[in-house]
Amino acid sequence: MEAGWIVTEVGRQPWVVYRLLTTAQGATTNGGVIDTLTAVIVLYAVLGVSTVLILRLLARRWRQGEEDVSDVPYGPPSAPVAGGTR
Amino acid sequence: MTVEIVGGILLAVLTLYAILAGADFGAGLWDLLAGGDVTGEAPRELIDETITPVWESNHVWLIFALVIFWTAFPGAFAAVMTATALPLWLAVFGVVLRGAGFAFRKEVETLRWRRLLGATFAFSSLITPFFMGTVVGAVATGQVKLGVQHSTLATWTGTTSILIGCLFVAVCGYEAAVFLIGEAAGRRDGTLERYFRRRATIAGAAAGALSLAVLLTLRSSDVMLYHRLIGRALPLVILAGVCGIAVIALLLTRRSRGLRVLTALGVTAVVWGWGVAQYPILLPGTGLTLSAGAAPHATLLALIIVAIIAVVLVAPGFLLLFRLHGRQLLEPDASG
Repeated sequence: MEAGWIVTEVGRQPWVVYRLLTTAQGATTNGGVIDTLTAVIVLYAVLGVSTVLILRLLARRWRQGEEDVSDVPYGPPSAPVAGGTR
Repeated sequence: MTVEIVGGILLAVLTLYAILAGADFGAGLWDLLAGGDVTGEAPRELIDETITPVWESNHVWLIFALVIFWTAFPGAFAAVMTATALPLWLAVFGVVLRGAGFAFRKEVETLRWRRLLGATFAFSSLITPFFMGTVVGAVATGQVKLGVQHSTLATWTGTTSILIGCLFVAVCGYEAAVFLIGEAAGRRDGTLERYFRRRATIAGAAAGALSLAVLLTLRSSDVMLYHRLIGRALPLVILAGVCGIAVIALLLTRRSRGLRVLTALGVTAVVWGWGVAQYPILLPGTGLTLSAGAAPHATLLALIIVAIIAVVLVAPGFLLLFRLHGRQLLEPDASG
């Protein structure tokens, strides 16, 4: 599905809207495009890595047969392990 | 007429976003201000239980609003996106980090990471509505010009814009506290009920004071909007004020009946007051009207049909979600 999307987007170049608007016309006139692109890539790289790490953590916990760590997001460390917020 | 219908749909969607996502952002704000691990445990648990089932779906309305805005009013959309690029980027980062922080914080094991991710969620809940407010302020004060080429700091950092940013934060906190009073009452937790009652009163008073301050600064930043707010839109402004005072009175006399409805009605009156005051101007300060800035008629017609279909598809799910949530059937203890 992703590949199909890429083919559509690349295949339509240089148009964003076919025969109405070119990509160059549609681009922002603001500066800092590289900066925002970098920020987005960094953010999503961090989120992507975190997702993988957390999924692995969940899998490990599940294998060990544990339910959940605590009820409250970051409550006191001594909080009793009961229920669980999924 | 078509363009008025589309404008009305856009305002209605913005109203839903302001109420539902506003309460959601506000819940994050109270999480941020709940204090240390021990003192903040009870309120954080209530907040977490309350927003877990609804926090993602509430942001559907932002997507609706953006799609309607760029399809129906492309020129104005481009101008807003260009002129207020920085606060919009910061709001986007806030939305992304907020969701990620909220979802991840429950799954990590060490307290340090939980705190870090929780703080990400809570801090994002503070900055996102603030920057969204500054964008609305930039539009309302006519700082967004048609065909603008570059964003400048001055566009969205005027007194009115900053005040509207603060107003958004206060309103979010107010809505969330009012909703959380009901949640605490439903759990027969008198301590938490009083806790959020106090916070709702403070946030409500702050929102009221900021609204008045915004109105006063509009006298110099956008005199036309000011005159329309105390002219054509006056009934809605009064309605908003009456709702606000009534909610504060209910809070102080420890009553709960009608609290949520009046809060929602007050916010609705503010959003529609802005819409009515601005009509038929799309971008104040440019003279661009709704009809002049609108997409072709066929596009608008298609948009209305799509909006109706979307509501028909989404509404039953939402009603079921809120019903189950209202009966507290979505909590881990109840579902087993």
